[in-house]
Amino acid sequence: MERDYLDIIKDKEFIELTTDERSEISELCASEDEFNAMKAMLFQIDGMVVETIEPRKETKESLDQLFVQTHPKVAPLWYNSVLAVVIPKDKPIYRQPIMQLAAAFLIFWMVYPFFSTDLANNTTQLAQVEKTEVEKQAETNDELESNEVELPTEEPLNVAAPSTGSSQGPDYLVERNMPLAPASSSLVVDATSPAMMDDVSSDEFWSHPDGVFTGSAESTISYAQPADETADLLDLLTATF
Amino acid sequence: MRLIKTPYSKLSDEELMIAIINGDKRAFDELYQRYSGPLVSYFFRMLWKDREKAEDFMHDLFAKIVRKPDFFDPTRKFKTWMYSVANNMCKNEYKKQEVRKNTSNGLDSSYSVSDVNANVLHEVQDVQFRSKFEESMELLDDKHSEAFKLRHIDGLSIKEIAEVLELNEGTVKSRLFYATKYLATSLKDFNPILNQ
Repeated sequence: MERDYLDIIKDKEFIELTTDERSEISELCASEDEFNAMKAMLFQIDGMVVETIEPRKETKESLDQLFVQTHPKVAPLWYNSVLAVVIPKDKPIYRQPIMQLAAAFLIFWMVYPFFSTDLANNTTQLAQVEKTEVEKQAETNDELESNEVELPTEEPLNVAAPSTGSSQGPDYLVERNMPLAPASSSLVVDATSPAMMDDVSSDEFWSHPDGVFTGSAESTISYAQPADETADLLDLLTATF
Repeated sequence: MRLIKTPYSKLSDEELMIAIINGDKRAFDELYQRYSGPLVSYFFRMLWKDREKAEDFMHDLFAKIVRKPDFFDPTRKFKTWMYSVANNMCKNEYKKQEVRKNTSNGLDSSYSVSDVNANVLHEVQDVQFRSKFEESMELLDDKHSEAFKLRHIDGLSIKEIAEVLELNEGTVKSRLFYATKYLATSLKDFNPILNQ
């Protein structure tokens, strides 16, 4: 608020007045006594208890009703205020908080892998992997050894190819270590095979009066594999016919 | 962008008016809290110390603010604008009551306020001073007393009084000067300095 001559009288002492201020109030109070009397009167008026009237509550209630009628309130939705904060319409897109957050997240996502790579840890990790592999190999060997069925030492299967009379010459022998066939394969027990005879215990073999083998098939049997399951063997066979 | 909203109590009158234009009820409450009391007092003084009339006029003024808040020019100071509206309302009331015949500004100088003054005087400490002050103000010409009250009771500056009364500042200064000198003379008996 601008200072007028009344403020000057109230705020200053007579000796503090400038020449301009004295000339301004000279008509009102020319001497120091008149100045002090004026100052006292103004303070008395200001200090006088001004009658303050409190408005009635009914007046306010009436105005409240009028306000509600004049400005029908839109149902406040919390997400409206959130959206107004996150996506203010009056700002360019690069100044919208949601865009700034998205950009910050993108930068973090792109930069993070560079800071998270640790070569020392990787070296250690590689050594551990090697160690684990060695251990696994050793364990696998141990398991194989422990689970290994003492199969009879198989003699190489001598397959006598029939003489075809070709220019290949005389009969030849093909030795193959026959793999174990699936359970569906036909079981052929060659009791007369000398190899079998050597490996199977005599009790198991001869306990049946007819000479039927009654022992554990897993340890003594050999499986005949269909020729069509082994293509290279089939080729060999078909070449003979 | 402000994440935390400024409390209404810290907003200026003009900012509150802008909020009211947008339908902000709490802004209206804040403005009402600031000016309802001073306005009732103003109307009470200006309208023959009629409490009911003062309350009605205050209600009408705020109703205008609610219905037509965009009437307010944001480039102007709200307080000045509000007192201008109040002053115009009083003038219209004077015309309506036809009490302006013998006065320059609408108040009948012979209007008796002794009954109300009697009630008011019980509440003040310096009864004699107040009585003499009221008496002097009644005897003072209305145009001078009005300027003096706006300056000392309502706390308006000379510039604001000039806007409210639609006068130039020089005229307001002159009226204030005259009123102050008149009161200083009439209240001389109560002056502690001069009585020493």
